[in-house]
Amino acid sequence: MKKKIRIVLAKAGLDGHDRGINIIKDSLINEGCEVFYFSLYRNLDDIAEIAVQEGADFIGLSIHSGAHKKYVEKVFERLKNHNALDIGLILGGIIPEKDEEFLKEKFGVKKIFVSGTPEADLNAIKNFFRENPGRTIAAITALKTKNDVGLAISAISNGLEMEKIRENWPGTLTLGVTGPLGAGKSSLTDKLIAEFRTLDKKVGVITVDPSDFKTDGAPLGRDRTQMWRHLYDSNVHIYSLATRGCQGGIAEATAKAAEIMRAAGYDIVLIETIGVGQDQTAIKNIADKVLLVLTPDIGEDQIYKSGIMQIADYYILNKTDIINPLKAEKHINEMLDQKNLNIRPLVFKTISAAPNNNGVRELVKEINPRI
Amino acid sequence: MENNKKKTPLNLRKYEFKDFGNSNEPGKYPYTRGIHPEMYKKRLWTMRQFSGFGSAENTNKRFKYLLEHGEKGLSTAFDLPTLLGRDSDDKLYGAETGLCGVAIDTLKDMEILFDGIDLNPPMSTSMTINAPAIVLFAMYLVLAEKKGADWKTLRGTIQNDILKEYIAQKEWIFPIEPSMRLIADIFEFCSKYAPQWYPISISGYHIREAGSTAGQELAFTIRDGIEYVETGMKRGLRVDDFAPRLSFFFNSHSDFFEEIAKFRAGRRLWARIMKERFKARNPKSMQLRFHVQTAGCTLRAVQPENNIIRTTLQALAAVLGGAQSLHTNSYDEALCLPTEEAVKIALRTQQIIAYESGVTKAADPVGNSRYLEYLTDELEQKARDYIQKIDAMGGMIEAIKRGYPQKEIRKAALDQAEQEASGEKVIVGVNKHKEAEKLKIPLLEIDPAIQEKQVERLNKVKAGRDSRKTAKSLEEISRQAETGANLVSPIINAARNYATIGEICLALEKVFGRYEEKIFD
Repeated sequence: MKKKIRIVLAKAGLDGHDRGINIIKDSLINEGCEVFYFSLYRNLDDIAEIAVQEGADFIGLSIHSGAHKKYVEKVFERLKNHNALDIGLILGGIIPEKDEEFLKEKFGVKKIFVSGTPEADLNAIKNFFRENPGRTIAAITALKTKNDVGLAISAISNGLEMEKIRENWPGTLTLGVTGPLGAGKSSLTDKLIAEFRTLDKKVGVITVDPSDFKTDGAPLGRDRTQMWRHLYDSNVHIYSLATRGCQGGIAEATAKAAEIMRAAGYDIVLIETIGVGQDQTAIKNIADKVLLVLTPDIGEDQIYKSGIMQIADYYILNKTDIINPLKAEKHINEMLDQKNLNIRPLVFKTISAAPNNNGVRELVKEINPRI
Repeated sequence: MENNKKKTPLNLRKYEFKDFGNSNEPGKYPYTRGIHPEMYKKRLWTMRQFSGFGSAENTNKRFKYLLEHGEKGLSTAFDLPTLLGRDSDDKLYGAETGLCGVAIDTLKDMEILFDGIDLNPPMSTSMTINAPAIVLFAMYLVLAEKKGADWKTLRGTIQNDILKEYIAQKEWIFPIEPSMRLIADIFEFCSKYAPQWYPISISGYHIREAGSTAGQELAFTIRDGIEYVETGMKRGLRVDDFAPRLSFFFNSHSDFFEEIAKFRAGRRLWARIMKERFKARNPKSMQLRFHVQTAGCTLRAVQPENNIIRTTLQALAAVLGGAQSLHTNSYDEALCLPTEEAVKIALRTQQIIAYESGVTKAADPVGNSRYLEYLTDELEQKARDYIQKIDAMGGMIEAIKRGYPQKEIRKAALDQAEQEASGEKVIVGVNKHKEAEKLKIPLLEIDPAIQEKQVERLNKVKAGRDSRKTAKSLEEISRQAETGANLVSPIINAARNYATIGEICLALEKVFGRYEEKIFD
């Protein structure tokens, strides 16, 4: 299996010149890389923190403001604190020659692409990443830190063999959060994290996004922008997986990633699937319980269909502030009545975009005793 | 997306000008050939070099240097914290103080910036400021008042074009709707109290710098213009009361004839839109007046002297295209902010074109060339196609929310980068005629203690002002922001009380919130 490069791109500070970084982003995805970019004005502490949790190979900073020394130092310090200085730090933009050596020596900058030079054209940049595949580990030796966990998940999704550590993990629960595009899975996941944290549970999160079908690269990190507030919570770890050609709505490495999270001591592992279609039900095989997130405008006929509609342990009608859920709730209950199951799935109503946790709190209360 | 690779008809002799009859007279509608019959024979363009770095003292000195060397108007470059409405002591971003432009926190800095400079006509001052334009404009008005210059005759421009910030330049503070309201407030205020001031400079420059094609630059800029005219009219202004004070700002890039054609097409398109779409009657409402800056993105860090030649050609295109004012980039700007020596060469470039080359002797001297007229027609058509699409989306604000212009520009930028990497598009010194040896030129160093000094001054100003009065004027801004009243006067009042730009923007943000860019994969 060819190693996938994961790279976190960022603009530093207030500099809005994003032409270069967008070009790099698009062309690295075309090269098959998995690229995180969170638009402008991000705090660079956040960027370094994300790179660590995501088991990234590189951080690419684009700086045209002249403030490169200050900003690079910021990233360097945070990586150092995480013992993650092997994440390759790459710079691009307007960097005076006299600063290049300083940045390389003092902060271990691996490569500097200076705008407007032959050494910084698109081919040169692509070649750099072809020749430098990034971080690898030979085996998973420890899962004590976020850096360990991020690196381990990246390694197993690149094909590192991992034996199943244990058959079952008492006291842990793996929850699948699935549903069609735009149902509000990420914002609901954010609220689930918050609720489980109030119960003092450690929460691991795996969010899955689709890879590009042509290039197998992927833009990643959209989901985690909804969960930004948990970034520095030492008991929350969020990792983004790309599907890499896997068809069932998750990535092939998802189960193993969840296993790593459990082994690292996370009580709750939330797996957010891609926006799924009717037959993308693979989450059922790896989660203890499946939360199916729907918007209440779902038609009665749809509810009776096979596939995704039938795998839920919890039906979540979300966005009930926009659409009245009563009809959908009634239809789902009728469907469940007809099935006459031993353990009857429950229906919850939530507003994942609301400032309060109404609905989500009741849901977590219901789930928690089952751990 | 529009194709970058131009299809030029092989036999231009057969090309029939679409608008030959209409376009034949300079100074006549639709002004394809210029807004004045005589153009530069009667009055040269304004040579206006965009400058600002470090402290207000540093920049004041640079202003005076430029005026001494024959510059005719001032143009202020602010640092990034100022552009984003933050003070020099900002916890997250204070380190950027003074690096990319001049640092302004309060009226005090403005007083130093324009010290010893008469603000009365013929002086005109341009300020490149957008999201917090209303704040810097208010400070300038108070300064003018203190220096005894009458608002009624005060001349200058604030860029104040927020739409292109969301599209390309990406320096925003507030969400789109309240930002548009601030612009309408400024239009309304200027039409009453500062009638000689240009309240907006609708800018394609940054759209082009972000990687657009010439056609996209023209299209999105003109469509932004339409949005602003509608904004003014919704505010209850009559089109002919404010349209004559709308000004534009374009890029001059490296495809020589395409650029000349773009300026001509822009004039024709705007004249027709103003007459047909908005029923303007005053010819001045139909005349597209514009500033040009040569293309920063074409400057290269290697063999930097070559940038002088690039800039010369681009400046010539702007002059042949009939610009009203011009900034020429300095050859060292791919590496740093320009040194005094470099900026002097840039200014001399304009002076040589103006006084030696003879191109000013006739209006639109290259007009009626078949190739140029073909390009002019083609660019007008491209722009019209885009405008139609954006109209169908419900206007530019809707289009921005969908990421439409942003994505179009991004595709064009990637396309260009690929063409440069493959060598299909030749860049001398970069992908052809490369030299191993890097040439050394002197670079401008920004005082490393700039932030410290600036914060010291800021603290002094804060200690010396009537803090109760300042706080009250800030509360008033938030209160008026909620009522929907015109905000220029309350902000003038706060500026007068030495409120900082950060404090004023915060007072607005409390009511307006902040803009968050959607990420478009």
